[in-house]
Amino acid sequence: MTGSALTTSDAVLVGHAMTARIAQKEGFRALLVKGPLAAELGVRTPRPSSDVDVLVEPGRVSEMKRCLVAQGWSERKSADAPRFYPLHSASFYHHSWPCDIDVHEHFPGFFADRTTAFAHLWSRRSKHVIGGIDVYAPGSIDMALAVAAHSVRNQASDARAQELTQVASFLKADRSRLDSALESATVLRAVTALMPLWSAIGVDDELSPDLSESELQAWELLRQSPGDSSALHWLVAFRSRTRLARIRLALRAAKLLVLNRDGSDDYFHRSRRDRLRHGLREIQSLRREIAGGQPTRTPQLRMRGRGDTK
Amino acid sequence: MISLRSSAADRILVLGETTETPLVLEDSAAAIWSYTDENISAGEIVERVAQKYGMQPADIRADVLSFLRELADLSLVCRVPQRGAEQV
Repeated sequence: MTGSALTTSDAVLVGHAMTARIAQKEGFRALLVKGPLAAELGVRTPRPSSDVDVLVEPGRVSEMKRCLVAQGWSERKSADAPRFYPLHSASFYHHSWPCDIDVHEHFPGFFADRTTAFAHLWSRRSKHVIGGIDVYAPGSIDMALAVAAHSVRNQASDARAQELTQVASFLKADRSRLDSALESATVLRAVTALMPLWSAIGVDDELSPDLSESELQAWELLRQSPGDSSALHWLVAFRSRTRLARIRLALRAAKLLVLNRDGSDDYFHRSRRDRLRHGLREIQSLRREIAGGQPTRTPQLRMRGRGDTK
Repeated sequence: MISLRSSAADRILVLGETTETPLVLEDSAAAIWSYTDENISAGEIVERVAQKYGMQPADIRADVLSFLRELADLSLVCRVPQRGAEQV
């Protein structure tokens, strides 16, 4: 009587409730970001999500990870790349679930320190009930900022560009929403990172930058590689090497990005396929970079030392 | 216990406290699951299912009871002794 396939959208929904239940049981705070709750809050139109994004309060991320592992989830190994800024999340997969769970230690684009940012988001949270479980998410304004930050990172995608337009419309519809968004972005130190959003709304001229030069470069780096930042870290590394070293690096990158990027053997997982396709595109870009001797998509990129960015 | 109705079709998704993956219940399984919320006996659930699908209770009794035992084994439902009623 049972045994029907679990669809991705259903898995994402149950995944929201499951991660919220873990947080509730273990006694820490967690916010579900983007996904179906963004549509429920009216920030954007409904669209299929392939991941669960959960932002965990600072200092408790390892507990969430431990609980997921105890329930059969495995952490995707991050690709072995030189790191010029820290990873913002860890992805978990389960062979019987057609979605990943991304556990965020902080949300990319929000440059306030993690404790300040989380406390701010939590103080303005929204409450939802999924499958009988209380699920917390940012309030609608902060969810709009989170969706916008994600869209800004992926602006080359038509879907993300459309999403940014929807968020802009949502905030523009009510001056109090926009004021609240600007105030919140100031607390989160997301004003500069979200400049395309303010530009779409038409208020960018009124705003002052809130990022240091190195923070801005870190953000630009992340924007260059929206799906997985590893390729960009590789690209930065390429530019600092001799020709021979570049060839060696290319071979290493190809092996890690395509053949065994995350250590899992689940090559037919939809989420994994999406990421693999992204990795292949990144490799093609890297090849063009090597062949042309110039970066294909990062003309403004300048080399920074490890640890220079926050 | 996480129990929710899928946005697509007539499906119910159930994730217990100790199960790793959600059960996807459709059709008669979803109907049986919804009846377990009503504090009725296993025998009454058999009757309800038979009525819903226009079948004889005797024809589906074994399947329904087997499914209820499966749910109980997964700790998704519990057996509550009721005087004079059939137990799962």
